[in-house]
Amino acid sequence: MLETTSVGSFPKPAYLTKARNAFSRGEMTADELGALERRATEEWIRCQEDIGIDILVHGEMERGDMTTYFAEQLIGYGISGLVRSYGNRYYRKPIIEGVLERSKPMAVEAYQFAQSLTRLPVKGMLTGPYTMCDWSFDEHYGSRHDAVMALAEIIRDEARDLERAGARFIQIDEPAISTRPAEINLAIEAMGVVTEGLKAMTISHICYGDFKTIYPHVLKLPVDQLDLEFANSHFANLEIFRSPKFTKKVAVGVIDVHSHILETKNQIKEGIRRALTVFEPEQVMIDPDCGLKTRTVEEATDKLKVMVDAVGEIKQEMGWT
Amino acid sequence: MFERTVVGNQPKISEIPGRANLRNARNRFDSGKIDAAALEECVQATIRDTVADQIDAGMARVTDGRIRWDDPVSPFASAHDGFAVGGLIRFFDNNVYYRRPSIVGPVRYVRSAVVDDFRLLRAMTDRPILASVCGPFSLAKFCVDDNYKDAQTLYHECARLVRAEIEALAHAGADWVQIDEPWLGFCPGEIGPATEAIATAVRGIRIKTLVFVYFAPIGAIARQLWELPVDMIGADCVTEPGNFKVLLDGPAAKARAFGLVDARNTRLESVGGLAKQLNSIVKRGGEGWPECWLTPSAALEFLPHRNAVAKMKLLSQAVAQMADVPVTAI
Ligand SMILES: [Zn+2]
Repeated sequence: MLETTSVGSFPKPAYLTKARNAFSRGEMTADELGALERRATEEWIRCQEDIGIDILVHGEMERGDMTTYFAEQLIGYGISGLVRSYGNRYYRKPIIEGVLERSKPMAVEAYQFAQSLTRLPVKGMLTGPYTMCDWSFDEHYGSRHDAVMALAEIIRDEARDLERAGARFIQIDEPAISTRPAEINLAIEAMGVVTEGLKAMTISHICYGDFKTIYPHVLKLPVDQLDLEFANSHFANLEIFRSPKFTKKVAVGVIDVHSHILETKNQIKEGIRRALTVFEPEQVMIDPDCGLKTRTVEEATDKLKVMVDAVGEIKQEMGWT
Repeated sequence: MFERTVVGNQPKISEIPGRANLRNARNRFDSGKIDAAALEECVQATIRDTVADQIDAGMARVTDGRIRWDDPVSPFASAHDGFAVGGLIRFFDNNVYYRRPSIVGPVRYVRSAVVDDFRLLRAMTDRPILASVCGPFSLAKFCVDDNYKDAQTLYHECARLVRAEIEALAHAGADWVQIDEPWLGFCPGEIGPATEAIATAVRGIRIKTLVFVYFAPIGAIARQLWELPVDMIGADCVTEPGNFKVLLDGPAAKARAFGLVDARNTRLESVGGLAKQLNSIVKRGGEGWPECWLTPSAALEFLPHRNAVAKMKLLSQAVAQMADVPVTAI
C-alpha cells in the first residue's frame, strides 16, 4: 500500500527543449532528436529509481501536448495555431478535419524503450477519447458522440498494443471528463470500448474540474484506479469522496505541480493522513497532482524526493514497512 | 446598423512574422531576462496589433483585446482589497484554466483595474471604444466566499465595486462598457438577486452599458434581462442557438448584441447563412432598435490568431452580402 508513482509528464531538460526547437526549424533530423529523447528518458528513469518511486512513468519526452502528440500522428487530424490554456501556457489545438484513423502505434515504442531500462514497472500512457475530442476543434463530425466514439476505437487499439508489449499498468487520461457533467455517460461509454478485455491495471487521471458535479457517477468509469488532484485545493475536495464510499483504487495527488514552492514533508504527510480518513490504505497510491512538465528539472526532482520521503515516514509510523 | 465589435479576450500572440511576441516576453520577464518596462512595451505593442486587426476586419468599435487579462476575474481580484489567489479550476467548459480567487475580507475598491488601458487605447485610436468590466454577479460567482458567507451581501459588495469601476471609466471618457455576465445563464434560480446587483452597479450611471451573457441559455431569464436598467443585452447565439430568438423578441426600446460566429470552433460559418440571420433581424424591425451589434459568440482568444481574424471578417462579409439574400420570415 501507499505505492508512489507519477501522473505522466516530466520537464524536458534544456538540451531537449533546444533540440525540439531546432527540429521544428528543420535544423535537426528526427533520428537526432529521437536519440536525445531517449537520453532524457533514461535520465528520468534513473532519477525515479534513485528517488525510490515504485511505479514509473517514461516522462513523455517525445510529447509536447498530450492531445496534439496523438493528433499529429492520426489520419483525419490537422494541427492548428496556438491557443492559450492557462497563464502564459499555449498548445497547438488540433482540428478534426475528416474521418479519424490510426496509421501506426503511437505510444508503444516510448513505453518499450523506457521499460527496457528498468526492472520496475513503467506505465503505458494514453490520452482518453473524451479528452482527445474535447481538446480538439471539430470541423468534421459535428456530433460529439460520433467524434468521441471514433477516438475510442483508436485509443482501444493503442491500449491493446501496449498490453501486448508487456505493460502491466495502462493509464488513459481523462482530465476533461468533468467539463460537461451531462456528458459523463459518453465518457464512460467510450472508456468501456478502450478498456474492454484488458488484463493490465487501468488508470485514469482527472484534474482541475469540479468533481462534485460528477461524483459518484464517475465511479462507473471502467478503469481500476482514478488518479486525482488534491494538493491544488489544499485537500478540501477530499470531502466529496467521503460519501458515498469511493469504490476504486485511487492515486492521491499531494504535490501542487503549478507552484514553484517546494512542499514540506510535514505538509505532504498531513495531506496523506487526511486522505487516509477518506480512503482505505489498500486503495491508495501517492503521486503529484498532475504532470510535472511545467516545473524545472530541479523543482520536479525535489518535489518527488520530498513526496517519497513523506510516504516512507507515514509507512513507518503506521508500521507498514 | 450592424456595427461590429468583439466581446472578450483577443488572442495575445500571432504567427505573423515581425509582430510583438507577448508569450516570449512574459517568459523572459518571469526568468529575469527582461525588466518590467520591456514587458510593458510588448504589452502595448500587442494592444496596438490587436486594434489594427479589429480595424482591418471591419470592427467599428474596438477594444484593447483585454490583452492584460487572462480571465474576467483576476484583474479585479488583484486590483482590489478582499481577494486572495486560489487553486486552479477550469473556465466553464473550455480547456482553459484560471486561479479561482477566494474572498477573504471585505471587498473594497482600491484603484481601477481597467482605466489605464482605456486611456492607452484612447490614445492609440480615434475609433469608438468598448471598455469592459466583470459583472457583479459573475465576479461573485467566480470567487469562493470565505468572508461574507451570505450571498446577498456578497453580491451587493461586488456591485459596489463594479459600480466604482464603471464610474472610473465614465470619468475617463468611455461611452460604452461591456459588463461580462457569463454566470447569469447558469444560475436562473438567482436571477432576482443577480439583476439587483447589476442594477446597483449601473443605475444612474452616465455611460452606455451592455450586459453580455455567454455559454448558456437566456430564455428562462429573458424578462428580467430586458427589465435591467442597461442599454443593451447581448448573448452567445452559437452555444445556445435559441438565444437568437430571445434577442429578436426583446422590446424595441433596447439595443442588442448578437453573438453570431462561433468563438470556440475553427469551422467557418457560411456567409450566406449569417446573411440570412441578419435579414431576419431586419425583418423583425431591427432598424428601429437603438443599436444592433454583431459580435463573436464569446472571447476570440479560444481560437488561434488567424482563425480569430477570419471570424471577425466573416461578420463584415455577412453584412456586405446580406442585401443579396432574399428576406425570409423566421
Ligand atoms: Zn492533470
